Amino acid sequence: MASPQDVTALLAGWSRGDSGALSQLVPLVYVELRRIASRQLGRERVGHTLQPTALVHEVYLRLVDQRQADWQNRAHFFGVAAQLMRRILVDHARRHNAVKRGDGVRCVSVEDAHDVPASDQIPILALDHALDRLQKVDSALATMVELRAFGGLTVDEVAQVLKVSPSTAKRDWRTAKAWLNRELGLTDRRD
Amino acid sequence: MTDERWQRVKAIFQAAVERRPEDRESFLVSATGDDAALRREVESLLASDAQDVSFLARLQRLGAAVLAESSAGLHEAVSATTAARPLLSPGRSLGTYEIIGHLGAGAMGDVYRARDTRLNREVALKVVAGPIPEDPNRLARFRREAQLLAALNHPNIAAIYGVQETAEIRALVLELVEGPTLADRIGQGPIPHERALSIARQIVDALEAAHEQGIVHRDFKPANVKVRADGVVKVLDFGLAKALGSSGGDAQPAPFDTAATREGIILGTAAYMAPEQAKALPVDKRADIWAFGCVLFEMLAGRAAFRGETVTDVLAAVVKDDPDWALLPATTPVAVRRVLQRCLVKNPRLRLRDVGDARIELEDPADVIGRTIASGGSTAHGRGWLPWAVVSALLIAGVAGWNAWGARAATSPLANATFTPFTNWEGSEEGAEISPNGELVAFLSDREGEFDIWVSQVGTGIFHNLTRDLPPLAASGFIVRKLGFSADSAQIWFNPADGKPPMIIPWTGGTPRPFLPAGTNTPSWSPDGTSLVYIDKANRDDPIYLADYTGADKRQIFGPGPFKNMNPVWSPDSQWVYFGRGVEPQDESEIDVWRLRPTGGAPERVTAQHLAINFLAPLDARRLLYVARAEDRSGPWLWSLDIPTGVSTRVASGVDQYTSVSTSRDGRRIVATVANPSASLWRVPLLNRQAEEGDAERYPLPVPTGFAYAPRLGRQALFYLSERGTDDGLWKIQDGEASLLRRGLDSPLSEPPAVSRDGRLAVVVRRQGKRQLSIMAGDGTSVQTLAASLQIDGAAGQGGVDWSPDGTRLVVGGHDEKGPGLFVIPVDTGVPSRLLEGTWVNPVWSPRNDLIVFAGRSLIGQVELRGVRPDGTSVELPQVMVRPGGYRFLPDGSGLVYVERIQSQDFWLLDFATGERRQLTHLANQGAVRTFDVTPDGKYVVFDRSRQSSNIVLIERPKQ
Repeated sequence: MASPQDVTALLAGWSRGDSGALSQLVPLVYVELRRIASRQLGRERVGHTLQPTALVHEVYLRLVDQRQADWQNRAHFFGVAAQLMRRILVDHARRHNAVKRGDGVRCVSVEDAHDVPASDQIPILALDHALDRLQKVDSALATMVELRAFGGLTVDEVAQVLKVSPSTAKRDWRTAKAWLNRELGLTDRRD
Repeated sequence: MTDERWQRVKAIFQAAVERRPEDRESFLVSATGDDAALRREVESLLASDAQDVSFLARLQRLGAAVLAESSAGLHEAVSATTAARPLLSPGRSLGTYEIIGHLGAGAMGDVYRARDTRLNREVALKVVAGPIPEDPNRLARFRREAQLLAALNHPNIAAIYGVQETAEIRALVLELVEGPTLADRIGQGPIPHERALSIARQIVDALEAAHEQGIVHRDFKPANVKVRADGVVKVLDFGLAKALGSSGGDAQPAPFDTAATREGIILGTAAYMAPEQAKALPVDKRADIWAFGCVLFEMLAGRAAFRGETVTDVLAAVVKDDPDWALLPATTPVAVRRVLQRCLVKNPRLRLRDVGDARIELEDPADVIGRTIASGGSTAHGRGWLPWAVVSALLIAGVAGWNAWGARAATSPLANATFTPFTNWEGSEEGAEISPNGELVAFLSDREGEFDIWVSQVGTGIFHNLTRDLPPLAASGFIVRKLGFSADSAQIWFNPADGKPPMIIPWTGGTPRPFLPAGTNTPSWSPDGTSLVYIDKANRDDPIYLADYTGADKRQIFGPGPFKNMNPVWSPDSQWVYFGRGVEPQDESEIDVWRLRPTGGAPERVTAQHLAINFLAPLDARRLLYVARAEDRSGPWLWSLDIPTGVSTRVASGVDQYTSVSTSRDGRRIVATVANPSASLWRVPLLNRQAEEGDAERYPLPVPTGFAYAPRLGRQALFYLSERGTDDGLWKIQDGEASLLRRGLDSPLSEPPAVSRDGRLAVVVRRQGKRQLSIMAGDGTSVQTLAASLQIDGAAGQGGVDWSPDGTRLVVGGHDEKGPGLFVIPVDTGVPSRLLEGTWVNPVWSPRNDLIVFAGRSLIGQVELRGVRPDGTSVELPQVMVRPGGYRFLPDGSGLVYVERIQSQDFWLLDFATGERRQLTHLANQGAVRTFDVTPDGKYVVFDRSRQSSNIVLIERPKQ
């Protein structure tokens, strides 16, 4: 398992533009995310509902050498972890839904994702599809949503990652929310 | 939509929301002109913006649906949801039960972890799938069945506490049992027969108790059996199949219940259905006995007795085929085989009739011997029992404590042992090992700067540094064994550095030489000294090798696999090699104890605890000591494993953390490394120059304080927290006297209090899982909760609350049902008012009453300082990044002392007048700083420093 020094070094390398570092980094983060989540699932403690953001934070503490990692690296880390977290959640939801329908793994349309009727939860697959669409319309907004929803960054932190002013980030966040709410609210849309 | 167009939409939307709602329409018209489509686009965004209700909050509760790595079997992956069934989310209440989390989906519905708010205990809520039956007969029958089940009271049956019904949901309230199911366990391989029998005996007890009450399980299978870490078995879902059955009456077997028509579930249940069930004939308790036979078979063989690709295939096998008896391990006792045969008789009339009859055959021979002898030698148990010759042979051989075999609770291996500190040096000692002859102790210590191997003869008090002249050893970390003794106690092996081959050196000193290939690790000699096992870490799959005592002539006795192996040790009788196996050898990893014959073959799993096990040390024929963390990640502690039953118990209660253990060959001497975390209060003066480490000193206290941290200074008194066994809580030192003000409530106090000018205290306490505000008098009396509707947020250990200078109000960051914010609470009314909206925490109130400084929350270790006036008007502060919660005002309010980030050692000062920042201290990093405060005269910063030190302890056991 990679030591915190390794991961920090990889992060630093990636910050400097070494894309090979990213490809080494992703599997490390991925393995760690799954491990911690499995353990948390297997041993749910009092008041401890599994939240993707708490998970990412815990992985961060585990993987990254706190003393070495500067702000830039941290932000990058959360970017990677947020993407991975999204991937993991979506993969699971797909398997879950597909099996439920009893015909093996297949691509589930957004409609099916709405099958889960919980009134106060946003279905993951629906969000994922919506984010894919947002990516095509405005990729910066999509990244922002990913960082906030899966990486747990605050608006200010997202501003630093995306290198925009905090006020721009706030406005963009509001726009992203409005767009997503609109997208997710429509139940008749098909892929 | 093109990129350009979207940019326009976005720009107009963003401009529109800046305007007041009443002005937006006209703005839109002018901005979009005659492009109606453009205007509609923006309008739809505005409409959705207007409806926004905590988007992220809804998002955050995605939590429950993740990562099914551990589930065993198809039926686990299937959710039994029907379209109309509501999902419960954490935080929701169902009657007096508060949902905490989602445990899984079963055949009959989702299971949740919940808290009974009346009795303050955790339960499992099983939500019943399907629409609530309107039929009063069905409802009555359901309630009747539930009552019958609730009357079942047996230690091996998971209790049903009751039924909880609301307008939309009906749920069964069940005993919450932690631990894996038997299905999970079997999924990892066959269970050693002693352990399997121990489990089977408890199942028999459970089934017998239920059958006596006329209750039949009807759906007994491995997934319905939970095995706790302490070895206790609980059978779940007794009789539910009938209680929740469909309209078909008693004859309808559970798997065909309309609520569970998913393919996977039927498959999972069909394998355990009795032939009469498969033929949809009436079932009684004998169907349970059949299922028990299937489960026992599967535990031993590792595979189900009746298998097939589809439900039809499985049912056909159940009805027509015999199980493959060859799948049972060769060591399965004859008595057990007989039980299996009698349980798996297809004709229920010829099958074993009472499950209690099976118990005899499954009993531990020693129990029976004991009873037989006690009853004067006559055995009433009928045929097939051990012939007397064997019994007497066992007695003569004095098989280690056959008494002990009968008794469930083993006595502590450290009972009546004497503990002697072996070292008590400054700095750290680690990885202590005792030689097989019990005379020598070797360990790592950084006493002379870097880590070296030190050795001492017991009783002499003289210590030698063996590796002084050698290059520094590999970076320490007490998780992995790094040194050990040869079988003849004359030599010590050690790992010089990662990647270098292990070396061996005579204990008296000398030149070390390599003796095993590079990358190998943790060699262990057999008790007779002729052979050696080790692990080849250079190979990714950690194969285990056997070699002669010099390391030559090696052969692999255990090949690659998906897991990591570590720390092999020989049993005292040389029959087994015990080793750790699991996921990565790390602090938090999942390791279990396995064992292997030195001749090779398939290994057996001994424990199923999944703790981070290391430093295996055999104590005697039956017990193995090791060091591991507990499930809640506390520790590491010392554990004793009872090998035949696979049950581990924690040894040596108390707060001592054990980071290594090693035993002599006769088990009479044990050395262990005990960790001693320490914390103390320090102060450093605020000078015109940067203060250095030499300027820092321990805070002068009139009484010895032991473990002290989180200081807070009032006008007259010092407050701090202590956490060390019996004197935990909030302490106060005033006028040269120390007093314990408060112990923690339902959990230890972990937040320092805020001290008002007149000496009252405000503190955030954890009550029933919530963080709430409490105030109290300066002597700890008159405790009052304020603003119970508020949950306080903020960085841990930094307080989270502050007083106004005149002591009439408090400021906190937290959230109520309307959302997060910064709140001001007048002490007399206790009613909070929102000062600022948003996620703001850790506020501090200036003594000049002109400013409140606070920050946002961050996962990244730094936050930006923010300011607001007490009346709510905003204030611009210079941009400063600080550690969450790590800032305090100077007593005159002219500046703010802060720490830059987590793990920083140094204090800085922000001067409000000039906006400048200067570094106040340059301390040498001797420990971690967490919480600090400034003395009322403004001359010192008082802070806590914590260190981890460890010492070696020699434990001597009396002759057994």
